[in-house]
Amino acid sequence: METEIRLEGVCKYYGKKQALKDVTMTIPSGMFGLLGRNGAGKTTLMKILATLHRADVGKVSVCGVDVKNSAEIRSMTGYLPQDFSMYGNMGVYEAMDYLGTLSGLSKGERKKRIPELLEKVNLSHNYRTKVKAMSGGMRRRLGIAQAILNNPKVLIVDEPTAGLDPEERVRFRNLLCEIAEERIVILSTHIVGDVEATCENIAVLDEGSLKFAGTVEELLNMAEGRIYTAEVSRMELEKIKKDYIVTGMLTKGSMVDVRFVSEEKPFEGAKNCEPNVEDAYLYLMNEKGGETVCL
Amino acid sequence: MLISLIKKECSMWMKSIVFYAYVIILIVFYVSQLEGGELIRKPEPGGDDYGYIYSDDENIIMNGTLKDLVCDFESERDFATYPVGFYKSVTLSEGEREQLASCISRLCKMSREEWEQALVEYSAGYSVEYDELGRETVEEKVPWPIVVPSDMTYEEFEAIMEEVSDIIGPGNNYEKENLKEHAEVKMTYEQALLEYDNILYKDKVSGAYARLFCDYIGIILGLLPVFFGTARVLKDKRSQVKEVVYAKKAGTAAIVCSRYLGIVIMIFLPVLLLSFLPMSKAVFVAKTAGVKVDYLAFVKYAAGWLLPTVLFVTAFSYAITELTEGFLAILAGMVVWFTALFSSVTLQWAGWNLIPRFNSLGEYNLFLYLRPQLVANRIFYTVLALMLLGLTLTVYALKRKGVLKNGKVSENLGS
Ligand SMILES: Nc1ncnc2c1ncn2[C@@H]1O[C@H](COP(=O)(O)OP(=O)(O)OP(=O)(O)O)[C@@H](O)[C@H]1O
Ligand SMILES: [Mg+2]
Repeated sequence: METEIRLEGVCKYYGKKQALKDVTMTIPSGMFGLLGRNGAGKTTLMKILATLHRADVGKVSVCGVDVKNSAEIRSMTGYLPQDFSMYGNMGVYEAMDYLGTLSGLSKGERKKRIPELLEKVNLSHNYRTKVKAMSGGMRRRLGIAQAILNNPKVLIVDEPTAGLDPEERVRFRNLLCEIAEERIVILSTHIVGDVEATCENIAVLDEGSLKFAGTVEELLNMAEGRIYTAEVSRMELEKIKKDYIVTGMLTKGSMVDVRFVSEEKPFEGAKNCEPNVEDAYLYLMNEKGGETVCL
Repeated sequence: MLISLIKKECSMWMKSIVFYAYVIILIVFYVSQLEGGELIRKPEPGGDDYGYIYSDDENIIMNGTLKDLVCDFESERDFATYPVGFYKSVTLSEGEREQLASCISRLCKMSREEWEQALVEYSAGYSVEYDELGRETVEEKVPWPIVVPSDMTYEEFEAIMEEVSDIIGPGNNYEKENLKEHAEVKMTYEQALLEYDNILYKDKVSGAYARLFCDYIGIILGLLPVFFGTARVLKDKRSQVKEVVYAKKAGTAAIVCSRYLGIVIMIFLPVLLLSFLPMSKAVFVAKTAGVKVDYLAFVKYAAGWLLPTVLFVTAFSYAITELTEGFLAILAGMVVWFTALFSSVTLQWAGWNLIPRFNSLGEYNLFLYLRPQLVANRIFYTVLALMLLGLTLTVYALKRKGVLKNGKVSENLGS
């Protein structure tokens, strides 16, 4: 039984605009993070996996099934769109019941499964809450619950943590990790911290091209020894900003603690430090130019 | 899955303002148009107006047709035709008018000069007067002079009428199957009594009321389902649920058909419930006359007569809105509705019109006469509805796979 997703030479065009450029990668089971700027092609890639778009060129298979076989793919994937919503005047339970029916669950299965799932996403006290009256976080949790109604082998969630408060985001990440125990969960995000905390494997897209694919470890290794910190004055900060990629700063009175990327030791007083994923990501996006780094 | 999806669709409509607006309009329309109204009464001997009937008498058909033809010809107006069920006026050329005049001459065995002269004399002695109540009294000093000679056989007559019909063109009033309509005569007391018996024993009273019900309700069912089809598609767009639904396991056929049937059910059920009102009237009349009604008459008439309208209009709006994702279907639906409503030839007519009319209580024989066209008409619209449903299925399947862009399909056609 194959439990991975394979993409080979996938291209996707919207009219003349090419949204994906020859993407080849393998997504193993567990949590998988998809990073990239706005418009990088994350949503496009996920929609291809969820059969909502067709790749113009290339082959995609999910657990051994070609995505052209959309009926079979749909029955084994769960999808949470970037802008998930439901009919506004439906209650939480009603919405789940409707989508459960569309997922092919019998009445008995729905009766059993929906309360379980709502419990899992912490909505068991909101059966009658109308969708239009839900906060963004609640709505996202409903979105996750509906995406796993059919107990899918593959769960595709498009920017599920955007706009959530920190506590809610952590809860959400943990929930996804729990779900990922025995399946593939693909998560797209702008928030590098989400990936750091949860994903073992990641891919980075840049303007439709695959820029990096590998483990978090490997990404960190790339930036190893290239991240420096220094305490500088405000005057000096302006110069550093011009010359280096600044990944973080903290103002301390008249001085600033600055964190930046440099290929070699830049100046006296700069201290080498352990990169975090955010450093490594910024290093990748800015230093590595057009080349693809697949490890 | 289909059944539970249909149930879900129905319960969604139960919470929709569109549905309640529909029910209210339906009831208001019924009460204003059909409530009260006439009851079927046994004709009393010695009355002078029992209504009209098409005669089967060949002589009356021949003379009635000839008279109408001469009047049509002399009025120099265009000829009204209904080639595919819709009105089209036909202007004849000089040559064609000559040919038509010669047909008239052969029908009455008079030269053109002779019958035109006779017509002038007739017109001189013809006068219409109105009294203070607006009632007209027609005075004819000379009887109608242009008649078919007694040695003309019906076959000869039919052959000449075929020529006439060819000259005017398809869908005209002088086609073989329309000739009888020129032989409208006043019913005698005996005929009226026969008609009454037909209503009691063949129609079982309920049939007569069901036809009148279908006539009126058909008018609003020609329009209102448009709002349902459009609302259902736009609801998915507005609530941004398209992609969530696309990604689910349910087949395209199950999704589209459940939505379609949900609408049809929610439109048709209130109609059936409403039919209990005229049904009770029929029961009352039947009881008074001592006959038994057919309790299923309204269901039968509504299913055969009104359901195809609902099927068609719903499929029409569903297909157009799935294609355009805008309000175009409402506009298009209104155009179709106005055209259908105002292109009815008479108030007892089907043709190929979306809204067949039968605006009278009783007239069982007339209905029998019109029934074949009504049946063909209803089958036609049902088939059309199924074709539109097929189109909707295709469009939905393509949008779901991302082959057609979501949004206006017209954008896809452009690129
Ligand atoms: N339906 C569409 N028609 C035309 N262009 C599109 C369409 N959808 C996406 N694009 C373009 O394709 C590119 C990739 O878009 P995509 O939505 O996949 O990016 P993304 O990585 O998900 O971005 P974001 O982080 O903002 O969600 C963008 O340049 C976008 O403008
Ligand atoms: Mg996106």
